[in-house]
Amino acid sequence: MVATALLARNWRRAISFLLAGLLLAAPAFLPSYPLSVLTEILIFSLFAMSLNLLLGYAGLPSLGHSAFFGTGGYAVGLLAKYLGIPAPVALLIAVVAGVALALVTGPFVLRTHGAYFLILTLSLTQVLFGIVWLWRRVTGGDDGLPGIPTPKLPFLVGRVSDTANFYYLALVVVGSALLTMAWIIRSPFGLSLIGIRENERYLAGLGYPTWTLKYAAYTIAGGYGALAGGLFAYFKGFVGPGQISWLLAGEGMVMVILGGAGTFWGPIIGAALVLLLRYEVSAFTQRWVMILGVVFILTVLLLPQGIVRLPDRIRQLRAQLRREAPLAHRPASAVSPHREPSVEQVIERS
Amino acid sequence: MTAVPALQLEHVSKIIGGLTILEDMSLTVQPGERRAIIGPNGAGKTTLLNVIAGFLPATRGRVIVFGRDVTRLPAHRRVDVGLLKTNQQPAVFQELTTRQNVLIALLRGRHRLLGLTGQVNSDRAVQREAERVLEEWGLLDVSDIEVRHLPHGYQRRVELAARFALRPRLLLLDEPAAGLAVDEIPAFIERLAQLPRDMTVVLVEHSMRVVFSFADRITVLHHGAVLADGTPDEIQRNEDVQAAYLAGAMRGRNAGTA
Amino acid sequence: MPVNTASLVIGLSYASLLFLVAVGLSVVFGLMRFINLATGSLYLIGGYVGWSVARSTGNFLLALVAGALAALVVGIAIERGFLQRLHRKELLQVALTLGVAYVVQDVTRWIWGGDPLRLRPPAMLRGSMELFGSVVPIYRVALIVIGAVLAFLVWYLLERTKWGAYVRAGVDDLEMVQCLGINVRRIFAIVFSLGALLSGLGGALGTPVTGVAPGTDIQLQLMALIVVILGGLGSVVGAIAASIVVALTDTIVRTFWPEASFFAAWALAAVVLIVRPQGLFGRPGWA
Repeated sequence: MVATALLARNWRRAISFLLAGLLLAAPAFLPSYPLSVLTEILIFSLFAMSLNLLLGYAGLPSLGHSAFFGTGGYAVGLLAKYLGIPAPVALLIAVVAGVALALVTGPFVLRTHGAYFLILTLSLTQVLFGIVWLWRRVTGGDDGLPGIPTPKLPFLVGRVSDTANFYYLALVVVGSALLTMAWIIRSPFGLSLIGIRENERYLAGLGYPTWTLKYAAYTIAGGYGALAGGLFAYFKGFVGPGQISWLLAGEGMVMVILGGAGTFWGPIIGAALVLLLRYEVSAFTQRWVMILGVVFILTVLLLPQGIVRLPDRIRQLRAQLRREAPLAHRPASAVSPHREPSVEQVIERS
Repeated sequence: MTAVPALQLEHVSKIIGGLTILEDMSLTVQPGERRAIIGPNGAGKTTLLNVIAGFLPATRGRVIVFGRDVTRLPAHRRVDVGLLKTNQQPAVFQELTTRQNVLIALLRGRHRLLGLTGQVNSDRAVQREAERVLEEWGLLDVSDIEVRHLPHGYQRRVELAARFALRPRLLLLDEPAAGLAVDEIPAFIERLAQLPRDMTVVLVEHSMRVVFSFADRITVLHHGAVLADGTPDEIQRNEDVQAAYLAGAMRGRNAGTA
Repeated sequence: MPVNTASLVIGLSYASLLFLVAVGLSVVFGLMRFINLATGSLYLIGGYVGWSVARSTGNFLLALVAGALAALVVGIAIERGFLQRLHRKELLQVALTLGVAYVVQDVTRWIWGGDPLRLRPPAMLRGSMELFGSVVPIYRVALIVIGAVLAFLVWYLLERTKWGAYVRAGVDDLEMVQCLGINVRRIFAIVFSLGALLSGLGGALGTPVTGVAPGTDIQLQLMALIVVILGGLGSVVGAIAASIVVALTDTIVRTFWPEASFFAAWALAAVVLIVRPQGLFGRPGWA
């Protein structure tokens, strides 16, 4: 039993290491175009993960998360372009801007729940969109802010291509961000967010300050979202109102739900899938949006917990097909006993 | 010299949308007492518990727990004075495992910065404590199964295990026997009797077997006001109670609301 | 301020279209508690199908019927095929309608191409007429009349019929309606389909004024959202009132500061939601 458990945990470690290795070595075997697609996947993984914190863990369905993405982008755009501030500082300020926006809008937005929360977040983002659109002098309006210089990792200049250079920068930033997010999710705070999602009242009854927890989650999600937006501005060398549009917020939602809301790997898979569909499928057919729509619908219907749960689901279906005694669900911890007793058996025993 | 009462309600009223649900209620529960609150459907029993627990603000009056005026405190702050409440439907997190349900209770307030400074899996002390609680409540075998797969009786156990882990001084039980089969009641009464005597328990229940075997004192509610208050014997002999219960039971059946 | 008859007519005719799309969205939310993000798509389908039928048969009435029916069919398909499976799982329902919107957007672009399509009003409604001293397009006036009639019909249906009473009761307290033994799923199906029908009809009616193009769905969807926010989700009267307010605001702002019309509408919605999260006509406690 113990050996199986250790094996399971080592499996995961092994895959993680393999993945890390592949990501580090990517510029060596990927030509420029796929490498930049991979960079974009990294950035949107961060964006999707930040939304996941709100939507998947805390259960707050936000359709306005692009507000933070755009805020980060415009912060970077304004700082880098007009003030020539170096990337690390600009990105930091972008995060602060996102956090500030969340702190200001939080008390209003958190007065609502469910669908009302959805449309209030959407409304605020639309208002921000409108402001950005109209305030041409500062934001460039519809034209946005072009010509943002791409930051480079100094010790890699000359050794790798520019694309690879920025790729590594993005990898470092996104990687660190995701690591901190993993910490947050595994902390008691993360567990309490799930409690909020499941039943806020019960959690309050246990003595948790639920409003403060939601506010904190909203603010943290805003900070990470802004970080992703700032990176994206550097990536494209450009920031425009499209980065605050609700279409982007909707796409973020698709990424999270498609991959698996409330899981760690889900949003990353979702981001990768959506972007790969856009870039790769569009080479074959113009109908990639339709395909995305169909895939999304199928996922919502058949795999509502997301693609990341596909192995579990397959296992479930096979068990049902073979008409075995209903298996207890896979335990949430990493430990998986050799044979899971059915719930009925367990209760009979006790 | 009298000890500080565990619970005092002073002229508590609750009015929702023009409807008076609780009317000028006053009652006192002594520490260690077992108080049952009964009454026909619609008498306001669940509302009363929700007001005491802080899920509903009182329109008028004061709620005092162990000498502290908690009237203005939100529900999550009342846990600080040792007040915990269960639900008619067991208050458990369905998608979490039994262990996680217990952990979430134990982790409350344990790590700074809203819990951001710790990690659930590496908090050895909490994990050990959780294991102990699970064992004490006979939940080890189902510890890693999501609660939604468990039958009702087990969910109730998880709910109680989680709350006991927080060492309540005043425990509010909202119809805990609801959903139990008739032959499960004796075992349930047994378990209730085993509750520590230093814990004050206020119980809302419909099952008279549970009430009369468990309670030290009984408060009868009718139309949101206290109709009678006394020992089980006194209440049984009380004619007003008999009249109200019978009449109220008829009315309750027609209205169909609790 | 040039609030003359012409802009009033334009505004009110737009209000008719908005109402047709918004009322479905509003009642569906009030009853089923999820936001149908495919409402704009149904408008689009109604518009495109209506356009095609009008082009090939020359019969505008037939085009209206075809457009409305096409949207109805798609609505029923969505409801039967997808939504019923996700009964009471609101977030997934919203997500699903988003997926449908993606699909419809792309399929319509595939079939009808990316260029905006317009339709001329039917022969007897072409041209202009004189109204209170201004010259206004006849079709727009017709739209106002049609909109008013339909608004009355919907209002009557919901406020004066037994079936409507069930719907309103469901909006108030779904559990109770279920306890009364009423087939809630059937009501859901009918309400949703009716909403789809009206959206499609709106799309077909709107082709001579707004035209139909990729992006029209998004435009109408957003406007409908603003309307239901202001009107209060679940309220027909609110939908009527808010359609008029939003449409007129949009028209008036457009004459001064065209780019800001978008911003003005959303700012209005945001302000209302901040002050009254349940909308102007919604019930407190819903938010």
